[in-house]
Amino acid sequence: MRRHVLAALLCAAAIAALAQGAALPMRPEQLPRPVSLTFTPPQVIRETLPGGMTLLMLPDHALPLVKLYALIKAGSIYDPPDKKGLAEIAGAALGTSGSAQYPADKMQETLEALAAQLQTSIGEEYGQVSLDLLSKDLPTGLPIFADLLMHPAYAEDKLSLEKTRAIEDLKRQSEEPWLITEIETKKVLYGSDSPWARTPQAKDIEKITREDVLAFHRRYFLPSNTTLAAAGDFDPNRLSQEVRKLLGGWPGRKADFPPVAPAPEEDKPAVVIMDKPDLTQATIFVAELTGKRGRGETFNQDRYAMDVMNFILGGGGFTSRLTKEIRSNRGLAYSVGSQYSFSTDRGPFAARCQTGIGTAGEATALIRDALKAMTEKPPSEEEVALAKESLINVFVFSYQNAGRIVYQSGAQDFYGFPKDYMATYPDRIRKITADDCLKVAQEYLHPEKMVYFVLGPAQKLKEPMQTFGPVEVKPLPEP
Amino acid sequence: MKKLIWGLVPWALLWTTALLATGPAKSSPPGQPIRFQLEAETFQLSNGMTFVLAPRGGAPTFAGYIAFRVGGVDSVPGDTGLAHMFEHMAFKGTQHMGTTDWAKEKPILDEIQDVGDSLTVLKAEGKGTPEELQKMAARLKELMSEDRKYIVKDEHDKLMTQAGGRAINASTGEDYTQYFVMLPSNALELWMLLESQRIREPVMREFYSERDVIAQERLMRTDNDPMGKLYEQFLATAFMAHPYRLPTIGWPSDVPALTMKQAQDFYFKYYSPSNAVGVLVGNFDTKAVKALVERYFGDIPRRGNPPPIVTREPAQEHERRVTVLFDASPQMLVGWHKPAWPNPDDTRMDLAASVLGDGLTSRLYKRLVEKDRLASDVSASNGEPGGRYDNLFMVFMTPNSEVPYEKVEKALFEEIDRMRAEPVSGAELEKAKTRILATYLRRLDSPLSTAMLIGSTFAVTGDWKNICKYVVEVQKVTAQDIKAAASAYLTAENRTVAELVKPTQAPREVNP
Repeated sequence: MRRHVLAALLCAAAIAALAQGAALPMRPEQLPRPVSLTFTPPQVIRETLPGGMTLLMLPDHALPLVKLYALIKAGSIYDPPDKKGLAEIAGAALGTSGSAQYPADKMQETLEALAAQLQTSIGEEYGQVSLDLLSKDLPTGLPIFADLLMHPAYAEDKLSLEKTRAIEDLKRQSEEPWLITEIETKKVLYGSDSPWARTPQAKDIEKITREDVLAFHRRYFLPSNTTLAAAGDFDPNRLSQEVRKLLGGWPGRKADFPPVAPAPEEDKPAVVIMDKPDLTQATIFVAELTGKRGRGETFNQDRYAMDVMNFILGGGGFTSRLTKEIRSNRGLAYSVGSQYSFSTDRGPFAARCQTGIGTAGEATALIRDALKAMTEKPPSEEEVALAKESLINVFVFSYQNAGRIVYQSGAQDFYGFPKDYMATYPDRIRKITADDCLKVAQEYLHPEKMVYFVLGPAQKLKEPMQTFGPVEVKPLPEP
Repeated sequence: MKKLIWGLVPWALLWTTALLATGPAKSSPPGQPIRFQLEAETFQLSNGMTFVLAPRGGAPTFAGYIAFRVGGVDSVPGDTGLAHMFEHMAFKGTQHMGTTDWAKEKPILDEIQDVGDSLTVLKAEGKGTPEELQKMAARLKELMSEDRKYIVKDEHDKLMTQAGGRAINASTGEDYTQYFVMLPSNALELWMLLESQRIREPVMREFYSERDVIAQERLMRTDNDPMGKLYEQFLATAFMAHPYRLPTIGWPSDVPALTMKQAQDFYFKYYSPSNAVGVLVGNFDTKAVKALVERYFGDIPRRGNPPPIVTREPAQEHERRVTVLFDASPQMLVGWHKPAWPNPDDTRMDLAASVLGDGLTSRLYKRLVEKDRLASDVSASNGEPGGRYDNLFMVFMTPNSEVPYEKVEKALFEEIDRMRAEPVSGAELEKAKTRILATYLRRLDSPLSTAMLIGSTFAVTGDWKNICKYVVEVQKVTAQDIKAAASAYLTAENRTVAELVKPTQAPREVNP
């Protein structure tokens, strides 16, 4: 009898053990190792059209939508010094002021009735025209898109409206702390007249004439200077034929670009307070110029180590050092982080945060110390492993959306990324070591030579900011 | 012609809507329907938690989304900001996450709560001697650094980041709180583990330092942002009784007065699985995901239903106005009370918003921006600040500098009166319908925005399939319907006007 009881107990114990074995995992270590993902990225169809225009296409029939993008090499860095704001206005007014065959009001009515979204803008180095529409409306939208690229009308009344709106935006710029701080920090880094930093004032925009924007268009909007990208619900053969037909008459000249003044070679340290007495929060940038992107053979190979290093420093969200120190441990800020870009010329690095006026000095010192530490010691193996794993795992999202795939492939062509950039990125990241991170940090980050820029009430910020060097107080820029 | 097809299969609901657009698109192939199709499978766990799964092809990724039907609207004076505070705490870990030793950490956290909550209450009530308060603050600091020995910093975020997570975030609105992330498909089980665990056993870790972070967030979003401040004051004026008047981020006095105890009570009151929806959209095997969902979320205990909000906003009888002093360029908001969905007038006012303020060819843009050059931007929005309760139809205007507000509002009110007096044209009606439909179609373009559409519709209306119902409803609205609704709600006595004025400028006299 007793033995039976024992057996029954044992049996119960075994069941309990089994149930426990099947218990809900409470820690990720208890999960099966994630299977490696196999995925073949969709292939972008690439054609070169007569006249030299590149056409990129990626059909995707999941939704009845089509996205068209034209990327045009043109930008504010080429604006003559007495025509600041020209590229910006040419870009903004392009989409609102009609074309030869479609007067402005008619074009807008047609597109908006179809719920098509036309967007045009011209940035530092390139402009873009995009049209996002229902696929059934492609036969209506494509001729408009083509006519706009070749023959924009820049109707006087619509151009003047865009100028008014741009001036109104300028007046509001200083009310957006992040925006104004970024613009003004760049002026300190590059010099306020540099093509990479200068911004127009209301008086510059007022001067821009219809003849100016038409000349701008004639000079840069050329097929050899344009990449057309399409993604979505269409037949690529038909689209290619239509594009050839519609854009066949576009004159095939080569664009000539004026020289662009180079970014400064030497970094000049500075501590600047931009005075805005009514603010109760300080916006802080600690910034410096880094490296150039390079093209093809000269493509800057430091990019991969920089991606890892910046992830550890301030690019990797909560896992980054800046967020951990300034936000999570001390509660000094809601937004904090760092970013860098290798540009055609030297691009900026910036660590930034917003904090209370009373804690601005403390937060700035924490940023400086984090930058210093990055240049003094290699990051820990654990930090490097986390950064690499994250950058590699997140890479699959580059292929999530057809529109994004064609757009990024157009942009990478434009900037001269190596052909195998996307295919080799994960492997290149995998090879980065802690010493590589230290090397690029030492090469590109110099906390003692950086620009410390703060937006806020100068009266209260002057004393804490003196710790970082002689302070220069600047007024807000005249709009 | 509208056609609605739907089929019910065991634990799977496939909902398809085919619509025919009959807009003035003369050059488009005639008679081609715009297809709005959203297929997803819904099921409910025994604890009441609803899940919606929408598998799709493409890259091996998915969007994971959880929403709780609780937000700013569920607060009362004194605890404003609590839903948002709890959202921040949900990233601070559990008994198994974010700690090296829960058994040792727990007593420290208990003491932190004792000291911290007492200190908070004393400060909020203006009691306690300076020495007393200082002593408590010093002890709290000590305990917090003691706790830090056991904390694994932001482990939730770290694990998601490591797995390749993107857009790891959450947001709290008036109506609901949502948690979301995009992950590679091989991290499905990790998502289940992390999300179910923080619903089952959240820990109020690092509560007091996070409360300081939120104070900074408020400074950024509201106190140093002219539009943020104007909107806050506008709501507090337009609503006198209904809690839509309370800011989701919390009043400046309330946030520093929040306690750990309040956050725990809030959790038990609102974070019942029966008050939540989980949504997964992306490349995955539905059967495997269902099993994982059952396993990880199935045993979270069901709790009582959250208390209902009984307050209704009394009818507004006179125009209301509020002025906000801010050293910034002009901004103007106008809002009118109106009912929420499923009242059919809500859909009609969506169309009115589109005709008035959507795009460069909308009435207000044409009139205020283009023709009269009074403003540099204008838009209309129906359903502010939320959709669970009766809400507002709003117009947002950016007057050009130096243009008197009188002129701007005169032009606006003329356009509003036109909406009330005459039906919109056939072309305007069709344009508005097409544009609303296209907006919904575009939201299906990414797994995350699809998940958000499904989840938010569930949280606000109780059923995600109302998306399709709504899309069909929009197509049925007539010009007369819009006129009748506009004329009922867009009246002078029912409106609230908020304007931003520089401190140097004297507020203007208005005789309503």
